[in-house]
Amino acid sequence: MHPINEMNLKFLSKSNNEAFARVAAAAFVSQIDPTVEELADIKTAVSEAVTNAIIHGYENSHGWIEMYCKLFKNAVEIVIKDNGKGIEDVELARQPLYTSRPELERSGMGFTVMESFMDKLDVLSAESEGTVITMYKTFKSIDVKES
Amino acid sequence: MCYGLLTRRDFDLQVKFSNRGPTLIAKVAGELDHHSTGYLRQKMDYEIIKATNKNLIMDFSDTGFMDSSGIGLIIGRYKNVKSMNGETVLVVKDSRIAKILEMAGINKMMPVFTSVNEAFESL
Repeated sequence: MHPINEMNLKFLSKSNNEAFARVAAAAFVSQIDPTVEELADIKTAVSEAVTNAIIHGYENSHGWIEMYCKLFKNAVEIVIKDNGKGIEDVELARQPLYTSRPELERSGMGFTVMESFMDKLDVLSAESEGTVITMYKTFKSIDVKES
Repeated sequence: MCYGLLTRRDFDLQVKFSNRGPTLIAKVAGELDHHSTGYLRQKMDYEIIKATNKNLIMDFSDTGFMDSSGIGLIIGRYKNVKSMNGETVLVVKDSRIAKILEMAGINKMMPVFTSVNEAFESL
């Protein structure tokens, strides 16, 4: 399946860009007309991924976060990439309630939330190189044959 | 290059406090993420310490967005109120927010209602 549209964004790892990133992703995805609920799923997952890059990847220092969106007729692939410190143990980080920063009142539910609101989640990470999160969601509300 | 701190409170988030007997009600409107929880945490802790109320109702019925940052905020305030022998109850209307809270088992720690009246009567 070929994408029908693509969008790349690069922004600083500032916490006020969390809202910017999720709204931008939702605005881009809205052109294929998913439901309000499906758009809210996208917003939540993007917010989690970008927050991870800011808090854990760059540990609140400033670095670049890249977001790549590929839009298909009834689906979207979103990649969130940082060049931060990376995740030591991805499997452990994906466990519900696990957090490396309990002192920040983090719940450790970020990856669990992403997994539950998206259909597919891949996490690639290398220490001191960065992390790439790839998420994929099919919009069940959109009939491909019709469009 | 140095990127300055925020110079204004540009949060898409408002919190309003009101009192009802022994209960402090915090009505949170807008979008709750990692960016806005810092501000909200400060506001709420100040109000919890200052107030003479025992219990806390966190009212999220006008909260349009919440990610997992909200979980940490809720558990943190729950602990603070509990340390002063008070109870925390939540008001949640949005099904996505309810789902996120359930994932973290918040509903097993404290009661969750769909209206402030129900929440108030439970205390």
